[in-house]
Amino acid sequence: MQDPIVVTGIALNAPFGRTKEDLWSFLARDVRAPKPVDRFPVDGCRVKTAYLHWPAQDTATLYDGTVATARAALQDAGLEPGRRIGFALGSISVADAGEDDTARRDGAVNGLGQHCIGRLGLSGPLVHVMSACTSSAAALFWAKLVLENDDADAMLVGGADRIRAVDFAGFNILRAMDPERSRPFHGRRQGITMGEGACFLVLERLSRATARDTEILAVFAGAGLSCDAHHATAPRCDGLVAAGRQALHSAGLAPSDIGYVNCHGTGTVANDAEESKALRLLFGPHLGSIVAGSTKGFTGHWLGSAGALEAAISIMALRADHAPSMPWLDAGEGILEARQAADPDGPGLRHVMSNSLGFGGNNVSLIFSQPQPETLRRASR
Amino acid sequence: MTSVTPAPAGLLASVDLRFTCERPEQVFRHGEDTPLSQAIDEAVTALLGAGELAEAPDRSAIGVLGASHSGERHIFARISRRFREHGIYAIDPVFFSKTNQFFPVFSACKSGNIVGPSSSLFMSATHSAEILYFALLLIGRGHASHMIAVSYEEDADDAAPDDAEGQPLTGRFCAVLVGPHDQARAGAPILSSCRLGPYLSPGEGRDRDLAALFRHLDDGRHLLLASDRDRDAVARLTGARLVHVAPDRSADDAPRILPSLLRLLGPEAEGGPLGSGGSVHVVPPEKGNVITLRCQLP
Repeated sequence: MQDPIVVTGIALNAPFGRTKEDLWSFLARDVRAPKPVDRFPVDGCRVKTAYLHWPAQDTATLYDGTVATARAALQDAGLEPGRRIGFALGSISVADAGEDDTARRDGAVNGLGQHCIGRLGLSGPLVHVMSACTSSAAALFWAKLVLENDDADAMLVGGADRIRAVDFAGFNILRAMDPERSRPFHGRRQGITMGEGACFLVLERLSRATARDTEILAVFAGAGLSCDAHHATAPRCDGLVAAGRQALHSAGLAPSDIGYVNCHGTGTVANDAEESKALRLLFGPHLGSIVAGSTKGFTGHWLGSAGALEAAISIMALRADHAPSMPWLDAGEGILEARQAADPDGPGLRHVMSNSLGFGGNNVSLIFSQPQPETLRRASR
Repeated sequence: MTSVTPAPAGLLASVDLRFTCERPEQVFRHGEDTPLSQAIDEAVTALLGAGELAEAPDRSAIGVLGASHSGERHIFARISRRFREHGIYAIDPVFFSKTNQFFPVFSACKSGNIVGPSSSLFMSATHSAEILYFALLLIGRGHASHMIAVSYEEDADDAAPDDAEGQPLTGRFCAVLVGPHDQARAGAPILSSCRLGPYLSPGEGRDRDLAALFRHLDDGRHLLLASDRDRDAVARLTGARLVHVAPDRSADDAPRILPSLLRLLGPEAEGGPLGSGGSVHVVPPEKGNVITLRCQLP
């Protein structure tokens, strides 16, 4: 008997708010301008701006903010910390160059995850992923498998990162940042705008969520992972195609079932070009009927925690039956062959896909679906 | 509850290699000519050969999992030093790209042209056996036919991190090929299921969590791979129901959990304390997830 994994809570810690409702209303507003970075020296940088959020650069702020966000997600799901609740985190913010290494506690990379599971009083499994910009999307993938194996009753999953000097310098040196603000999939795009924050989701098996009579935000229908095995920093489209096909297969869906794709869409020349190719290969003749786009033009690129944020966005799109637009694209300037807005006479959004790509050829594809009445009825028996 | 019928799997091959990068620049590069990349290449080649995958044209069903406790600490230390001495723009962009990923996984994928599921997981203990759980999940759920699980640790050293310049880098990685049990050596253990959790920390809740874990044991044989401290605690809780297996130890007396588990369940295992099969419960030395593997010997 199938017992799907569902999403029952979402919370975030971002410049634009703390709740999923804040997130959704933010995406309906005008695009913000990034702010000058004042946390570390940026003299001589080609790009000096970002979407800053955390009030201080130190790890204590990140640690406290992550715990608060995770706790808020549990509250959104109507759950108290418990022994069979696990924690899955995707984050690259181990420490920053020049920073005191005590932030890494005993030298463990998963110090932030250890800190959170301890502060929240959880005893379920701890999963900590660091796979560049796919980290928190991969954490969602693993949390789903842990639940399907019945090794937890719920998984608190997400990402938390801060803008580190080492990453800000690195992307500047690579000339992968847009001097004004990121315009994903624009024909004259120049790169990313960095952002930061935390976003957590609560996953449970449907039977348990139904028994608790809690609101089900979406069904986590499928997921796929892959590696390009191509280049340490440059993507290759066939890796994302493989992850997408795996996600569709695991969800029991066809490409034509997907209504909206939240793309990784960083705004770099390389990523957006390869991702466009990947969508063409993955969706074939159906691409013209799918809405696809990136929301990084609104939020900035949250690096390791982008995947969790964009999963939340995808779920909110599903619930609103409406995909976010890309207002930075004027007519004819986009490179995506997919639609920018849904067909008003179409079937509506029943299944959405959220894709993430990262350094090291990492790819993750996640699929979320509308909870169907028949599925809910079967689970409640 | 989701009914999962996991695919029986086996640990088909393993390698346990030490590496030494003598020249400072080798510490920080993963090109094709460094001792580390050569060691990774050697390991991947050996494992693919043992799994009769060397000639497989399609490697989309083969994946790589990397796990580590401290990751590539020396690379980060090097970046930190250059940042402090020369400012933000002295950071080499190649090294920067390694600060947010786990490069040995990419190196292994590229070496073997492996394009299946790959991930980098960070553990609370060195050479944690938890990586086998994740590999078995991927195979059990049909995401891959074979997984190469690589546990990578750089040796801790007494020198301050920013004295990495001029110091050789040494470390170890332990890599396992996990695949269908019918490809394992005749007589090797068959892994039929795996469980993860709870997460244990030192402190007053540890014995409570151990008690909950071992409260309801089935009638089969149960091995406990754990420290002496936990052995004593579990014996008090269960009346010596579990057979204790002490982990192997390194030269500096650190427990080597993953290699110890491979001795019990790996391709050369002959049963030993497992008898004809049972469950192996692996309790981390201090912090980490418990894993339980159910297995049988044919």
